Amino acid sequence: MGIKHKIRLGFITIGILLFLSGIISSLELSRFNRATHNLLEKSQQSIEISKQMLDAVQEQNTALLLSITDTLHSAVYDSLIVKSDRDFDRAYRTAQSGLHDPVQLEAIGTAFQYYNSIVSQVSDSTDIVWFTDVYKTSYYNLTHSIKEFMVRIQQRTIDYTAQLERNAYRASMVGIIALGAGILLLMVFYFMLNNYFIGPVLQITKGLKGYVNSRIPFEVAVSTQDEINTLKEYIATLITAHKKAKPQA
Amino acid sequence: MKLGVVIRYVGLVMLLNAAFMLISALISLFNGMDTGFYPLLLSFLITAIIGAFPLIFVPNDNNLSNKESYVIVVMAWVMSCLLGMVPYLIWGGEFTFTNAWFESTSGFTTTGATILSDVEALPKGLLFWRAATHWIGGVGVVLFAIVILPSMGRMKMSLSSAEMSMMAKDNFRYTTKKILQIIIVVYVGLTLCETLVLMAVGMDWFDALTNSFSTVATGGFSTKNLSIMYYHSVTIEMVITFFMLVSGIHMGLIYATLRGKHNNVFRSEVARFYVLSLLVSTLIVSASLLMNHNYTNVWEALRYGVFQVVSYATTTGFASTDNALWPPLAMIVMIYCTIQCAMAGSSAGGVKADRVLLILKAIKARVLKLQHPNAVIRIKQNGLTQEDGVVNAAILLVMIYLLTALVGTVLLTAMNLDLLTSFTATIASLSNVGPGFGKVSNLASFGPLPEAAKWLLSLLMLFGRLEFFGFIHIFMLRSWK
Repeated sequence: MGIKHKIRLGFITIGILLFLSGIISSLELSRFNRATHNLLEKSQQSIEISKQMLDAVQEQNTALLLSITDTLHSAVYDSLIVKSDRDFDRAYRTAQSGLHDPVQLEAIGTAFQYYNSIVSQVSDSTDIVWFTDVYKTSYYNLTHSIKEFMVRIQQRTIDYTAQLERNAYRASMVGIIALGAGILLLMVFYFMLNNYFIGPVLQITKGLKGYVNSRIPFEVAVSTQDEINTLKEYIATLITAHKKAKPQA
Repeated sequence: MKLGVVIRYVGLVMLLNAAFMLISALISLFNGMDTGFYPLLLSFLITAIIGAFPLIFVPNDNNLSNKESYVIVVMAWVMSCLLGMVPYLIWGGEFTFTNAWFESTSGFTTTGATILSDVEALPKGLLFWRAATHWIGGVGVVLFAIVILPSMGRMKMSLSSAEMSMMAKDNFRYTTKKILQIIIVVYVGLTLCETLVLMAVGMDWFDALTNSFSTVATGGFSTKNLSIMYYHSVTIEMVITFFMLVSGIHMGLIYATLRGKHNNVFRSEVARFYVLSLLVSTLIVSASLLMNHNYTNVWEALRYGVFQVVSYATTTGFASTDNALWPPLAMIVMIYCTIQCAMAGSSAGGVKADRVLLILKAIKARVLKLQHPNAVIRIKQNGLTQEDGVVNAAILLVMIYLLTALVGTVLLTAMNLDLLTSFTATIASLSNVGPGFGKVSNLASFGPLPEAAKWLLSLLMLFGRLEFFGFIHIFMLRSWK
């Protein structure tokens, strides 16, 4: 392989390393960004859904309280209870499909089932004592499990952020490693250029100078099979020819 | 010194590492492109380019001096550890810079000590890479380079003398080319056999292959937090015990035995001593476990006793039970096993059974000499008369081992570690066993140790792997003419 090709290949290799490392770094960073974005999105979604569930339960709670205290037994409260029940169910299903915290969602589901079984006991005879003694417990249970769900998702975000804070350097690790490898290759490249190109040229110059000035035999060893070796061979041939030609002169 | 040529050969070893990184990346890819894929792919690219780069400039040169071959061995090991930590570093998790270096060094030196508290959290590709570092290190990074090189002659001999213990080389009685073939055939053959047998007894292919890598390389990395204990299977333990025992035997002897040659394992004095020392150790450990009521059943005591003794003595370091609360007698015997280890010519570390037997014979000869001052007493091992130089070299190596163990223990205790942990961690690293006792017992992680302790233990692993002198030479290159 010629010098030109060797040097070109050396630069291309370093270029390829930096280029591919750059691409992989970008992919890693975008994966990292996606993961962070997804987590933040889920966190936001969980707040929204938890709010919807809490609103629905709150509404049902108010409607139930009004229906118990209302002596006229207006049907409007029943429809409010049914509507809020439907709202809750919708929010719960959204949580099930989008947020992956099966344990906490199951806890909400169980609390809601119990809550529903209590609400279904409501009749014209139910009074405020039932409301405070029986109903309130199931209500608090349900709202507590919803809040717990919200806290858990938030806690996960906090943990992730803390991890990010601790390992901030990790985000740039790929770049640092690629840079380190690039510097290492450049050092090796410099060494190779010195050792296999510049060194032999200096040796040939020194050998030639020695021959010209002091007639020291031209003995230079070049290990590579490239233009420098060819140059050395030609110089040696030239010197031999010069030696032969000299007596005639 | 021809530094360019040294860089070229180290580059070839890096290419081998790159090949295993690529396989690991492919495993990640076929495992649903798990989180290990990009770290392994990038590591492969970096390692392959660094490995291939010197090939552009440096012409092939087969004439290597001993000095150059020693530098190649040490540089290849250090560079392998350095580039081997890249996948861990990029992946993150529990791998800080120190932890990644420790894990990588522990892998390539076949020590098997881990900083991970949750091994199972690693993606499959990285688990494979961990096991592969054992496998590459086990056969000797440089030995691989010699095999893949088309060149022949003096160079190979000088490289292999740095790689293997000199006593191992004496025992081979084959040409260098044949030695390399034997090592590869035995090593690959044992790995394949164990993988197939483990699969036959119910292990899945991935665990079977990675555990075989660890066993044959006498490493100890497992894919499970509970190591071999995870499988709760006597059959699996028996299979692994058998392969650990065989992997601790001189590879040339295994080959000779399989080929029905005269100088087989049954005729080897050292092999008999090695097996006998394992038997005696197992009996003492099992009896101690029974007497201390760790196990009430004789068979149970024997089951765990034999596995742990073989695991420590062959420098593998697998766990089939938690030995943190074992009685002092059992611990002392296990510590002896950690120091003596298996036979030269295997991938095991430590002082080696060959040297222990030789020193015992030297002691006997000395006593005889005192009784009969005019007698000419020759020390023979495996039918060959051992020169004084060989005996002295063995004694010197044991002395350096003990001195290093002392220095290591003192330094670790200075880092506020208790004496048991410090001493056993030091000798377990020097002998490339992995686990010790105390805070570094067989199911514990090295993660909680101080950072400085991890660096020191990594250095001891390299020191032990290169049988001390290989490493010492590097610091005395100027005086080496």
